[in-house]
Amino acid sequence: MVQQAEQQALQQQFRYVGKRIPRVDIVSKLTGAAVFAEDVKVPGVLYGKLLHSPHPHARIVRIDTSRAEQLPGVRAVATAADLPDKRVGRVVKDEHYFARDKVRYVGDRVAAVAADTREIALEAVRRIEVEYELLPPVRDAFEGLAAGAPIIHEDLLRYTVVGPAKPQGGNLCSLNSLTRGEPEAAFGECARVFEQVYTTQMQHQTYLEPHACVAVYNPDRTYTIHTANQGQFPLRNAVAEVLGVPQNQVRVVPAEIGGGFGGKSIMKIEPAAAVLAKKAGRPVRIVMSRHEDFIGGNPRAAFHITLKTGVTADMRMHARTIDVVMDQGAHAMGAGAMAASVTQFAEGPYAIPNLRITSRLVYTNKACTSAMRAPGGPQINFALESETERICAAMGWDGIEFRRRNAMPTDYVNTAGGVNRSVFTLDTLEACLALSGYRHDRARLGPNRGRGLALGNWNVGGNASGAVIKMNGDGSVNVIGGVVDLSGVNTTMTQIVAEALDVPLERVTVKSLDTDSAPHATNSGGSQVLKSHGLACFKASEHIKAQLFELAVDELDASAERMELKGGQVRVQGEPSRAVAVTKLLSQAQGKTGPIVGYGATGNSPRMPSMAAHVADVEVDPETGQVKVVRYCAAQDVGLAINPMSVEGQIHGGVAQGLGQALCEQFTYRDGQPQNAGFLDYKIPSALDVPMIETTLVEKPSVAGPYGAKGVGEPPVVPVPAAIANAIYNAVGVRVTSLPITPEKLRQAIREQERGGGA
Amino acid sequence: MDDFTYHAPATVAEALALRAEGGGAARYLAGGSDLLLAMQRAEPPVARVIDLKGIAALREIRVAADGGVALGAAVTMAAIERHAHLLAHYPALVAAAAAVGGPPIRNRATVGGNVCNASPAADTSPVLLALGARAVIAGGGGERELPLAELWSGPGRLTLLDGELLTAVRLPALPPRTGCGFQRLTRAAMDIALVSAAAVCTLDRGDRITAAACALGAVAPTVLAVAGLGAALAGSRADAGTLARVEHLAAAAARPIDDHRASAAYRREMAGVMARRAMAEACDRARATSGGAA
Repeated sequence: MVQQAEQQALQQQFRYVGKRIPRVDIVSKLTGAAVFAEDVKVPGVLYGKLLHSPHPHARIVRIDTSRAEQLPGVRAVATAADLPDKRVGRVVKDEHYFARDKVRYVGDRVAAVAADTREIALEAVRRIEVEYELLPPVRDAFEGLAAGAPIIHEDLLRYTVVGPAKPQGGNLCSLNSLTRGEPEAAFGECARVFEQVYTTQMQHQTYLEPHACVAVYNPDRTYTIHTANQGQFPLRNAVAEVLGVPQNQVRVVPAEIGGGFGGKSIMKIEPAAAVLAKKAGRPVRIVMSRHEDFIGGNPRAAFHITLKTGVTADMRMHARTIDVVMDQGAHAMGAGAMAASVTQFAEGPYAIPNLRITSRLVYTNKACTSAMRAPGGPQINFALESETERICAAMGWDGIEFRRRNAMPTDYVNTAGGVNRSVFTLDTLEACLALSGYRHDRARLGPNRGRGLALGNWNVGGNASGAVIKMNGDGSVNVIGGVVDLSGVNTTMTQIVAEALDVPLERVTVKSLDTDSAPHATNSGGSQVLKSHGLACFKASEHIKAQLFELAVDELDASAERMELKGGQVRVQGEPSRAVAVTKLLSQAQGKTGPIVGYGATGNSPRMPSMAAHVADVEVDPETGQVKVVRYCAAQDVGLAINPMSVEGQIHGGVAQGLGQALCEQFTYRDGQPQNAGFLDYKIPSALDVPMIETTLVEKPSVAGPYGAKGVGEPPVVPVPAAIANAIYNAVGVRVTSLPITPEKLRQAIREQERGGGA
Repeated sequence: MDDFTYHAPATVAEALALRAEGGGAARYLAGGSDLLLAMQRAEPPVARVIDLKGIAALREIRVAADGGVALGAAVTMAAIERHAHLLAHYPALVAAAAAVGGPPIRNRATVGGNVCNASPAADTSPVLLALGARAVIAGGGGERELPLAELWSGPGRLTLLDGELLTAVRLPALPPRTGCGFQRLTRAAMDIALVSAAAVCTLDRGDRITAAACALGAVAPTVLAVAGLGAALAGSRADAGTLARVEHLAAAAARPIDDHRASAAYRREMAGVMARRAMAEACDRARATSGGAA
């Protein structure tokens, strides 16, 4: 109740922030007026299509495109020969955009064609002759690490490294380790030491809209690319690197985007469309099929996690080691960056004095894994929070009390040496307990019904971002940013600027513009937009105010420091009668300072945990192993919800995606060949599989975000698999340690228990 | 998908003529939910599509005086779902129809298409087979009928002669005290069946089984009837021991394969579980009926 009162007081300070404002893009999305990349109309556009490798690992002996080029209606064919001979990559420069010497996964790009019709493009792709010399594939991470394994990147140690990866040779793309205290020695001081292996699967982002783009090669020899990507600037830089042109010669225009979840934070078809457009002298559109999007996508990596935990008699985790082996796929792409982030959040929501985290990223002949909603988060959390309950069950401890004793406090010095500020672990846990009614001694709800708890975190940082605000003569404003409008970004920015300038919402227009027009920003992802772009918009508003206050100094005969902006007037604080209309100041500005334009920017900021606590109720059919989720409760530490409706939507979506990872989603390979590259066999939960999701927002302002807000998109996906696994354990007494918990896997575990083993 | 011509005949005779003229590149379209996917990779390409939905007779559900039913081949799953007589007497068929896809698909998908696509995982097929349904077939030589089991020769393969058309599926009338059940196992709510089972049983006044049948989906190259089940159960009480025998017989009859959806061992075990549950459902319904099907 105290908390509710606090929350109310917090929200009453604001007019626009903290309110349930409908999304600014809602009408265009619902009426179909929104222009997605595939909808972009350009005269004379050609159909582009890629040729993908059918082999997981092979040497390219010869590529002959002549039969494709001779086909009437084919306007251009492109291969590696049309691009500079250099490797690109965000972390390790380990990839030729078009395969040059070898193909390294089924779906690797070999060539592309542009033709008058889709049918001709498809036929032309079939006519490209590629002679391959087949090589044995590396099918999983442990096979890749084994002595005598086929080597995927022979030149790994000569590659340029630009990210946190530390290549070791062989197929070991990166070995990263971080230690606090002396874990090995500390295990000796523990009352008991637990060891367990957990494994997770490859999960695809399954955004609604497959990758799509339209590229134009302009008469001034620049490129214009309309695309569904999560970040126009990172994409522009990547495309410029592939094409070997300066960044100013590539203009990326963000289209509306049909979901990304990290899967669209990587360049995909854009360089192919650009090089084809240049060769053909006509614009080129490429739209990936769902099959291409699966085989050539950037799914969540499968983890193999060995967890060793030492506990003391007074219920404290005293020492822990975590060894992660990541099945990374053929190229480091974004996955290499996870080598660093894994170490940050592997400590989880806990304070453990002796800790070592080691991660091995292993090249395999599969799709290049990369960012997916909270990269690495749910995998590690599945291990950590399954283990919490396993330890408590073995020791006869109350899992809630155990979490309370080990919870990470605020201002905690993390393993990397930074300070985690505004951490509200216990508040979040207690809020979830209150919402769900979870009690350790009543987690078994009845025959085959159980309730499971998991606590999780995602460490939210902020990336460099700039924002420009132009104030018009009537006091309305246009906000220009370079951040793609995903998951309510433009709505949230509208609320922040309206609040900062005290301007009605309908007098604020926020646009995510092309790379020629907008200030630089990074991807719309990682829950970091509020802390980066949100702060930049806030600062740009402050810059506008400073200019208005300066203009008002003579009129109000007061110093700028004493002024405030309220209801379209600049006033002297505490003296409402001493005021001047903003429109008057703007008119005066024409004769004095010129147009009023505000600029705000933020640099990279450290990552700090946002907490989520979830409780799931499940019902298990012990004969089949099927799990039905009957109720779901989620509490989240959000700082201040700029738009509670948007935040709740993020939690609902995160839980649904997490349920897929927990129970049914798995992208599988056999001998390097994808087995389920489509929605017939890659199962995502439908509305029929997802229960009602109850949410509660823990609002304690953060020191870092605008108005105390925290990023909210990733945390709700993190604790879901562990909450489900714990609920299943409480329902039937069986613990499954590998994801997804399919009916078959659970039935197998139950059968072992029936035979007297297991549990 | 390549270009094709589209035809909408008004009679079965016209449909047969169009098919004969089009040869192997012509295909019948009932609902299209399977055909349109197949056309994207059809080799040779489909050059002619003959839409059957305009043939009024194929869209009829005809209830005979004895309570038996003839389902026109182009009857949709949605039509089955809301048909009062089917709901009352063939609830397992309604359940199977309701398991196909989502509502938009069920407004298109037809019983004839489901049967003729010859997928071993087809949802309505096990129920039709367990009920003893017969296929009514039109062709150049006139009309013929055969037991449904003789229609399928393998996954996606039919015993129909070239150009023949399934016009209806005939369900026999049910004897008094007969019930039917349908169970399926999937990975998520909307999914192709990993295993499905349908059961039918008739009880005498002393609650002893006089007739029983069970059919399994997705555990063999075709939908499969559990052979010998009727004889094994005849005279037994519909109790736990009998249901355990159903489970055993069904698991033994299943001939599943390993694939990325499930292992053969799991499918075999689940074939037993689904069959037992379907039979339990059938027995319960048989007990609950007071008299005959009419």
